[in-house]
Amino acid sequence: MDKFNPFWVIHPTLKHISKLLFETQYPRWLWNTMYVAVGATTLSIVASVLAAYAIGRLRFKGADTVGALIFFAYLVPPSILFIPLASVIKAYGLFDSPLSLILVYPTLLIPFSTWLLMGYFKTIPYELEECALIDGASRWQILVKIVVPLAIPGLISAFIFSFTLCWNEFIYALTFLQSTPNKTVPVAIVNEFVDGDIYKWGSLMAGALVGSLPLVILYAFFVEHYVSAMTGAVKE
Amino acid sequence: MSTVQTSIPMHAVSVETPSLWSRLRTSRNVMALWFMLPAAGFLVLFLAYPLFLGVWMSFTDERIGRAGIFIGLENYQWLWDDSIFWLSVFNTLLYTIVASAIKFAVGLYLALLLNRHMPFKAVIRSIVLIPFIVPTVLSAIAFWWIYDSQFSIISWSLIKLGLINHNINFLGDTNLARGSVIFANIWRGVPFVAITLLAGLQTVSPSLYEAATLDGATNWQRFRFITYPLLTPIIAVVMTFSVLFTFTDFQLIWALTRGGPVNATHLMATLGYQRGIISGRLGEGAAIATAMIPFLLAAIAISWFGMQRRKWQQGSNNDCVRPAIEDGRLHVERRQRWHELSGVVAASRGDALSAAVRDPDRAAVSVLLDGPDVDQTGRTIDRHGQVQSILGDPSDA
Repeated sequence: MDKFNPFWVIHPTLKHISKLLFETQYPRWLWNTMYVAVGATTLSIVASVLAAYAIGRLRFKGADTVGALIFFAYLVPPSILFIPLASVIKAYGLFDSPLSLILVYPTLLIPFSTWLLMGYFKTIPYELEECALIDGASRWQILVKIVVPLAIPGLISAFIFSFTLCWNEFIYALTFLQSTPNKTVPVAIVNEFVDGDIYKWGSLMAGALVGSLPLVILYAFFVEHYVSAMTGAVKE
Repeated sequence: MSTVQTSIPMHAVSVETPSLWSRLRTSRNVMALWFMLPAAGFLVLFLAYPLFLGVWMSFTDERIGRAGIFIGLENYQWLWDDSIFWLSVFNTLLYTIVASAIKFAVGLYLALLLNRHMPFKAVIRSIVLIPFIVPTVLSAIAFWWIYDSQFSIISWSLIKLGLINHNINFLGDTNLARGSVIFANIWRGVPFVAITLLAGLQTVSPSLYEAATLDGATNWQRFRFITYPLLTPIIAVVMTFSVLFTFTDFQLIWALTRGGPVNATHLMATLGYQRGIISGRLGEGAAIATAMIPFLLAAIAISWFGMQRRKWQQGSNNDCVRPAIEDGRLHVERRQRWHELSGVVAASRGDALSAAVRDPDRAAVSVLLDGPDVDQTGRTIDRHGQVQSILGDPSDA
């Protein structure tokens, strides 16, 4: 006890990381998390771009109401939805499948991304669209060839925000996924490396570190986008 | 002798009525319907429907693997007499109020600090965000170790300093456990509050501070009468989200204590999970989740009215007649508020600018496409991101 000093590593080793990567199902969990995060993020960004364009630029009848409803959707927390969702997912036969998360996560991501992208679309001069309309472009062409390329910074923000949220998500993943190989990293680590009262500290810490790395790398490259993603919708 | 043709026979110009199909194809409303479809599909199927299903389930005795039958308010009556449920309500309120208040205070302080000019500003801002980046559950593992009954770094340091002589059982004692999870929640939540308020602070014009300093305002007065009023709308939004997320927190508690010791840290969300999913009494779990809704509505309503009040105080652009493109003509509105201009000029797009040029004595003319705000100098605030033209702005002359 006297020799032990928690502030200092006495014998550094990579043993735990190699054990984690080669002797446990950790790579599988990482793959699951990545699969779910990329799938859900892609789906929600496509849906959000379309929705944000419709609300912000098509100005259809009732656009303001729909915008407000989407904002309220962001205020509905997963903690009050996971029980009914569990029975919905079971009814669709998606229980214990990562696909269920890909379908459910967009409900967390679409409201925020839509608001963020609406803000970005508003900064694109309307004149550009009018010119394109006069030149005979369809709305779809305008969206794909003019609005989306100009909103790339907004798309990156929405992507980072969504990806982070998917990577972090816990309650739905804990509820919908049962079998060990299908779990995502956060759920797997807290359940698989604790045996009753025995904490496998080496595996736990290595797993937490490796599990956080993808986000930290993403964040290191896009910190400015990250901040604007966090604050973008608030400034609206 | 040639004849001069005095009139040329002309066919009447026929204007074709567009067919139903082409009208449908170009109608913005129909197009918007298609554009909204994917987002609406997700939100209705996996958000709106489960929300109502949850309320319905709370009136049934549904269990995992068995459909429920309607039992009225029985679940709620059961919970009403359940001391653990009331304990979880108390814990949730305590957790939310204490953690939100501290997060707000620390977040605001950090934001004011980070808003100053200091060396390594970008690096410090990035470091502040780290607790927000690291997945909550994975940071909870670090807290396991920090709060561990044997290996706790806090106990070790205090013993070495000679302040205590035995390890502290952070997550074993009821009140210590409450304090510990609240601390972990604060650690995790402060960056969101701080960075968002920082973004708000950066929109406050420095000239206001200069003017106040010239008038001899103290630091506190500048905060109280400039920063705070201008920041109120963002504070309202941030705190709504902060309260909402803290109130419905699940993962931090579940990862740290699973509600223990003796239910001392059970929040409504974790109790709902334990009763609904682990014990399989979906109906009862749904009732606990539904019981959270009134609290959430109250939190939203408070901040919503807070924001409304701000809007009214600032004089939102309600007094500005929203111009519109009608009959292909753009209505130009001249703001009466600043420059005593009158009338609404209807002009086609090109004419709007030339009409303004023809009237150089008009101090400020803004061509409004979507009703942006006009500030005191006649510049339009580019709130809607659409191009406005300012002509004859006296402040530019």
